[in-house]
Amino acid sequence: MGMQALEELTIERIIEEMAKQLYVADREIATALYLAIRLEKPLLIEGEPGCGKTEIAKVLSDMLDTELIRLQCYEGLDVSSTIYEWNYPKQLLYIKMMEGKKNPEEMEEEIFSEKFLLKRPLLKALLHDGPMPAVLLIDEIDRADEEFEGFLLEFLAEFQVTIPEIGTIKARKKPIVIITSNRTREIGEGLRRRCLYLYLTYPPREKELRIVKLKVSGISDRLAREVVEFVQRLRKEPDIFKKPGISETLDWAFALKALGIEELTPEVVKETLSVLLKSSDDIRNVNVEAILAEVKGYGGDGGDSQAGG
Amino acid sequence: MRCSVAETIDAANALKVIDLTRHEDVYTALKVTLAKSREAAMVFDRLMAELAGHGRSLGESLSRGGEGEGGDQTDKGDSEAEGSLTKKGERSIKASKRTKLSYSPTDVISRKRLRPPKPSEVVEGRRVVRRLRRRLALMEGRRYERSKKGELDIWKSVRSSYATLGEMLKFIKMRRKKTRTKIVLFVDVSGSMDSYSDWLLKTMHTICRYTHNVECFLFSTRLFRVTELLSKHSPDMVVELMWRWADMWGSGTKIGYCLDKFLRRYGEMVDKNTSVIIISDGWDTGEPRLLRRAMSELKERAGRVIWLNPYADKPSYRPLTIGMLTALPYIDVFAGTSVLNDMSSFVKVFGRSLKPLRRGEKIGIPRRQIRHTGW
Ligand SMILES: Nc1ncnc2c1ncn2[C@@H]1O[C@H](COP(=O)(O)OP(=O)(O)OP(=O)(O)O)[C@@H](O)[C@H]1O
Ligand SMILES: [Mg+2]
Repeated sequence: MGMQALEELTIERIIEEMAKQLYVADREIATALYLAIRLEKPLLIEGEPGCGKTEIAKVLSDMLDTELIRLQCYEGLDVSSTIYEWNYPKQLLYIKMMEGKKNPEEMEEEIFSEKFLLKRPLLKALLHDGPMPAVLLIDEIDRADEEFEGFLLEFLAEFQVTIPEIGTIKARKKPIVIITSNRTREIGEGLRRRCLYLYLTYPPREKELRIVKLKVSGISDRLAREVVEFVQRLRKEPDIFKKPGISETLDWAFALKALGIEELTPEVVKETLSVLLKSSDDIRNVNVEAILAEVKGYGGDGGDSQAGG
Repeated sequence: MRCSVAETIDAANALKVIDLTRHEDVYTALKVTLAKSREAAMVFDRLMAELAGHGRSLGESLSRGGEGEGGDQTDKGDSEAEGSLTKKGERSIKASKRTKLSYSPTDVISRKRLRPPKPSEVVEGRRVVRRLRRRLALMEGRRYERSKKGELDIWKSVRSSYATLGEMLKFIKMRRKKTRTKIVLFVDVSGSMDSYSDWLLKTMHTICRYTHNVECFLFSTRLFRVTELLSKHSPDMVVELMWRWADMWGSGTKIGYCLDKFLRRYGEMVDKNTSVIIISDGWDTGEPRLLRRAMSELKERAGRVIWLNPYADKPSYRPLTIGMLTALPYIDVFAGTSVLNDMSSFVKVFGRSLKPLRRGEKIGIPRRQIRHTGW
């Protein structure tokens, strides 16, 4: 499936294709992606945890039927984990094998060639060759230190790296770059300026309902509606420290469906609340009965007409 | 919101590849190319709502650029777009009604020019900050510096005595150099603080503009980080912008909610070498429970929590609001805002009892401050 060429891409088409990959993209998301691809600019996605940042890159690569290259960031990220590393054991082995058979110069040239190179994500992205560009996901950049950010800025400007033993490697095809951040650290101005920017927050009720129905196949209409309504109201509670994201909603819906539950009751909610809320403080602070009463009160026909899509 | 040339070009390129008749796509195209943070995105939305309120479609405003006047619409459009507007918001919109329209966000902001700060104000502001920083130095660092009051350094004294043929005439004293503290500043811009805010914002601006290691936040019902904004724009523009934000949030103050938000999103900014200064009258319309929790966490993490309340300058002041009463146990220093204003009272409050701490020392509430504020 997927798309045959990037030229076919339109905003409508992106929405459609992403839906096929089980991702509900509103027009804003689709437009941001469309522009990132057309203008060949990286897309920086910030937002609340569990609201589909990482998923966008995955879905995009599936939809374009191309390789997803992921660089998971952490503190102390370095060249050997982002670009390349020589495969020393393999080199040693080769040297042993070839001892006496080849002269040293020949050998050196050989062991410092692409064959002995361990390619890390950024290098992989440069070497990717296919009808479609690769999708390079730089996940949770806020966890990497500022130094890496500086390096990344250069990388994104040039799309090339230099390996002393081999020379400069330039991108065969510029990858589509998606950078995500959870804002545990503010990302520098420079990087922001280079990227297009999208902020993802908790979805509105109708969108979340669509996501649940799409992802949790076979869930009853009623349960889906109640689950979403409950989560929506829960997020508005001032006492909740870690608000549930879409991923928590989905986990909860899956769990409830697996338990064969048809509708929410206080007992059911209390027993399964730990799926939705990760801290015991938060769980204690929720007035399940009160929220549930509101959910049941709301669950009328008002929402039905909009939820269809 | 400041857009670089490169970003403006991006925006233009983005407009080339989308359908210009679709309003929402034009909107998103401009937004993703020009607004590069959550805060900027919110400002963008606000500005666009304002443009729309002037009765033109975005496409029109774009194509016709700066010509003509957008005054044909009424205030109704604006207030509908925004829900509730405070008096100030209405005033600034009226003032701007007959001004030119263009899509440049900065133009919209700078329509109304305020009085630039006097040079003397800037000088005074810098002095305040310098003093503040010195007084707030929390910990002694590892490096030493020469000082009249420090401990005698025998080696240095002996070495200097070589110049006087071994006669030790000078005693050299050293003390530990104080580390530079970080300051995190929260300023309440809610309605009840109205009469103080202009002055406060100016002070904040000066603080951010001329010093490092200061983080500034505005809050009312929401929290807004303004450090970058303050360091980049002129004070009049900043004041104007802040008023717009303040308007946007409606009335009421949720101190607890905002501090909680801060702790979760920017919590790493505070450590034991940080002084947190909260400037607010303590009129909290949020949950006291949340405020208590946030204050106690803040106190635990920060080196010192200072609360400046504009009303506390009056000798008759008693902290009676629920917010103030809730927060008090977690405050190290409580004083009126005039300490930022006039030097002598500033020194009185920060000078005497705020001795720099030794490493690991615990900070208690300096009783003297409490008496100073008269209760
Ligand atoms: N719009 C959507 N349509 C369908 N599924 C979604 C959507 N948004 C999020 N999800 C689902 O929510 C889950 C969490 O998404 P994802 O891991 O991308 O979140 P994230 O923002 O990267 O979170 P984190 O900050 O924890 O990394 C995934 O299982 C994803 O399938
Ligand atoms: Mg993620």
